[in-house]
Amino acid sequence: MLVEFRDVVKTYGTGEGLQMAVDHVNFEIEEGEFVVILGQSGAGKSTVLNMLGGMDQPTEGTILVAGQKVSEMNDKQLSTYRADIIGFIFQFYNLLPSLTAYENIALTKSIVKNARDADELLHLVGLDHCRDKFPSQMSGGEQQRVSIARAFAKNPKILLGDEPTGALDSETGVMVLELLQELCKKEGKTVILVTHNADIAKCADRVIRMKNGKIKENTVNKNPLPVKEVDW
Amino acid sequence: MLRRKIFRELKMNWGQFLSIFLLAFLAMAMFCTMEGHVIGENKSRATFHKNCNLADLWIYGEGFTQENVNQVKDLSFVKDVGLRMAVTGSAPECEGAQVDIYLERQNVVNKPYVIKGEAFDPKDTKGIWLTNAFAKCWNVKVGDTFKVEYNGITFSKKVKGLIESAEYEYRIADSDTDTDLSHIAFVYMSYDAFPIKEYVLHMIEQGKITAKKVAENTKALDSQLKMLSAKGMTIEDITQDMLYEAVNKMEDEKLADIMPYTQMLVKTTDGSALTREEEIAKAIDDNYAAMVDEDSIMGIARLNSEISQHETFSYMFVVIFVGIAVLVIATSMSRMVEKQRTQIGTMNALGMKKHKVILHYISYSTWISLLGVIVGMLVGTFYASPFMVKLFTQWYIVPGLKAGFDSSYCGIAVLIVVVCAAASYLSCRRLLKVKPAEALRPAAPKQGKRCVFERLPFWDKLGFNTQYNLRDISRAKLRVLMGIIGTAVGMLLMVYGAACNLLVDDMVDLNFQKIQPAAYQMKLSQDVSLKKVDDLAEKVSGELIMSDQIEIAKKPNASSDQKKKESLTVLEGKGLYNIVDTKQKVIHLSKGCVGLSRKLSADMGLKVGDTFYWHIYSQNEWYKAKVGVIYQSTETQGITYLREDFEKTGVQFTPSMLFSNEDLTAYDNLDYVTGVSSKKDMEAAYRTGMEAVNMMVVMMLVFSTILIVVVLYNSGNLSFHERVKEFATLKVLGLQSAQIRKILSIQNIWLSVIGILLGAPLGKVSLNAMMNSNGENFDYNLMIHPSSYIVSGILVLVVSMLVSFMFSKRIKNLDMVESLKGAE
Repeated sequence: MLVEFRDVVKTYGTGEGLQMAVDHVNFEIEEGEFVVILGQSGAGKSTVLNMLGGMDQPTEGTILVAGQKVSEMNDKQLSTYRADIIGFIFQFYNLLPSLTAYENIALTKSIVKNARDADELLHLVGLDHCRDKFPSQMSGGEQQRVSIARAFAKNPKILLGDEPTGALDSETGVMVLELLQELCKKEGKTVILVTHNADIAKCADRVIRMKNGKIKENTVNKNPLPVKEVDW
Repeated sequence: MLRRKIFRELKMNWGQFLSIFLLAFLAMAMFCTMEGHVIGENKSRATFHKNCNLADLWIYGEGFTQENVNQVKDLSFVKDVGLRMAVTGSAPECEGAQVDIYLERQNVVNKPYVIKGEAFDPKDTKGIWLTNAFAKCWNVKVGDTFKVEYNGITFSKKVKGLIESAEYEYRIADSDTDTDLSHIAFVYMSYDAFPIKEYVLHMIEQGKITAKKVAENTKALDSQLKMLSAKGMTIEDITQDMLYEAVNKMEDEKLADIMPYTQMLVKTTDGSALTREEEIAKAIDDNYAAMVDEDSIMGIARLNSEISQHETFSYMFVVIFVGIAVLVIATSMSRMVEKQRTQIGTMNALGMKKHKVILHYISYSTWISLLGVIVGMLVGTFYASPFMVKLFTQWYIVPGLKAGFDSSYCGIAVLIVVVCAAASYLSCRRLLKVKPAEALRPAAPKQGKRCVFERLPFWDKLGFNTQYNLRDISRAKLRVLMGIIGTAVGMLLMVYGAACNLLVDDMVDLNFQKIQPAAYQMKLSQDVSLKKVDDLAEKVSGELIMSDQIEIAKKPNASSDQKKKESLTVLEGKGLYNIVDTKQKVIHLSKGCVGLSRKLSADMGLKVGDTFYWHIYSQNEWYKAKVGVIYQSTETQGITYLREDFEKTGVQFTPSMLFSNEDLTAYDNLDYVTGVSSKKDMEAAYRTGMEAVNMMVVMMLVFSTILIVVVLYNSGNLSFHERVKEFATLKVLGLQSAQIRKILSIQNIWLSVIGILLGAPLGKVSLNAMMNSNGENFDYNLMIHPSSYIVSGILVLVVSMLVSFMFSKRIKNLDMVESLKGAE
């Protein structure tokens, strides 16, 4: 098992103002799975993703990733974990505005030892022509593709995406999802996406539905559809 | 409600606003401190000068008469004229301290200001009026007897009053290198109180007054000469004994002319001075040696320079601190409004008037700077300025001096606040002009473009940190400029402080190792017989030095605007008293070579080989000389002769000091010796006198640190906030906190290093400018030790790194989730 959430709780505030963002959540994800966590705003899906990505720590419970107890890691260990295990794709891309597309990807060389070649990845995401462009000179879809390339550049075990198509028009969103699915299949990566778009779930191997911080449903999709075949 | 918003946001951004407060506070406090001193001095001096009826013109000559007074008085623009005889004696009971003696029969101009005791009465032949500051040092009180020695005769008078004089606001004994109030006094006494007969008899004994001189200057021998003439004899036949006997029988009045009035003081009706030279010269048939105004009276001119220096400083500090405050406001406010873009849009959408929104954002820096100037004004006026005034009473004496206040302070305060408000408006107006609908949408990301550094041929070889920081620098020019300027000014102040710290050691080295390296210094009375001191000098292997006041010009008998009042030094070239070149290396004068000080040569446009003319201040005859060498003199400008060459001019060599490496204390009791000091004692006294410099060092270090912390804190804060999302992204990507901290710190260090490199040379320039702004005779060319630069640079860098550390610490606790939330 690549990912295990055991009775994970995340609360914010104290006393009367205590808010339960994630309420005793348990799930497991196998290596190579394409997982979609579905839910409405405030369901706790982003909190789950943040904890899984080592950006946040649970209040209670255990998170195990590739046999490592992420929930007990210190700051330094979390940095290493994020560098080696996780690739993150944000809704708003979060590219460094002062770096070109190539440099945003090549930046990973400063983070991990065996970072992949930035030019190769640019080619993979179909952005050779954007190599020397700054984020402000690219469209949203192009920026998200750079973001995906950057995530892949570190050669992570798990790719996490928080509404990766949320800021894109549907056509571009489909292209991005297609790219993600294709790359994951080709490279055998585990992908976990958080979204409120139920259509995306049709492409997933596993769908985890959340509501009010709890898991309502954890189903395995035996026949995931290729992105192209989904009626968007 | 908006007020609540202001308070809450001030709390949230306390760092930036505290900086603005501090800068406004410092600007105002420094202005009030300096200006309080200037205003206080100006007010007190005006009263002081008025009470003393301070002269507008000082005329020096070999002898002025009552007739001359009447001639000058007849001029329409002349209000009062005074005559006096001025000589320099010593106080044998006060370790031979210098005593400037003023003898008068009438006291209408330059009246002494009585601190304690009776008013000066020029008809009182029993009393003497002594300097208050000197009396304090030696615990002399009204009613005590005070002993004065002049040219070998000693007389005691009862102290009738303790006085100060407008001519002596600054005072320094001729043999001192810095003011020591226990080393110099001036006394006022009746012309008739001077023991003239005793003096003339003593001079006859010394062979310094001959029958010829008596006959030339007085009518005292007229009857004797007639008798001699009847017997077929001439004045040459009068022996020393005969002269002694004749003078001994005479009344004092007859001898008075032997000590003629050498100074005429003129008070004009309209305060005009040297512009009247021609008319006055004509009235007295050009029978004078020099005519000067208060700019040439060191006791007044030095304080004039000091006040004008402080006035310049007061405005300079305002410009520096307000300038940096403007940069801080510009960067802080533009960041704030950019951050509050949607809030501005919301306020506009809710129907809030545009001017209200503008006023709201202007009011941040307005209130803060207003608070800063109010606190600065209070601290400067009530604490710092009185403290400064007290400090300066060590060097300048102006009775009734207290720190002043002027309504112009309010003008400056308003100006500072207005500048801060304007800076705030200018940095916000762009965003405040955006239409509400547009403001409600997030701002478009900044246009990415290649930075200038990318043109570097080795750009691709630079590491990520370097490239990232260089790009950031090229995109945040204002912030970078603020960082560099702030650090440069901080470095300037730090170098200033560090150099001041070594200044005393340097000056001790210059004065006591190079210029006067002898172990002992002996002060000689004016009447000393040259033969006697020559014998003594030979015995102790010493060097005799003469110093006097001269006027120097490019042509003889020049008018006052073409000549300068300077100093003459005559040395014997034995290496016990030296001159130094501009690199502070000792120069040995060779035969026939006359030295000219550097500043004087520059002021007069004279160079080596040029001819100039000079005359002793109190004598009318001019002498020609050629510039042989240019030398550096820190506080007195003038010319230096070798004794051998000087005597060739025909002017009498009258040494005032003897320097020797042998112990001279054994000769302290000789009648022509007024005091002996060891180099060790003089050094110690000099160091004590320079203690105020230490305070300057502390002040500069504190200012420098505050400035650097304020500027770099702001720069760092802005840098951090501008890039917080990027840092969060880097952290999510797995970059260690330490690596990100390094990125942030590296940029701060770069800016600090650039600031250090720019500020370092300015430190030297401004230090010398400050030292030389004390007066036109000042010519400091201080060499700042490499160690001062290194220590200053290290200190600035350490402060910079500490500030950097404060910010980079935030990276560790950076909430990635929170930072990356929200729409772009």
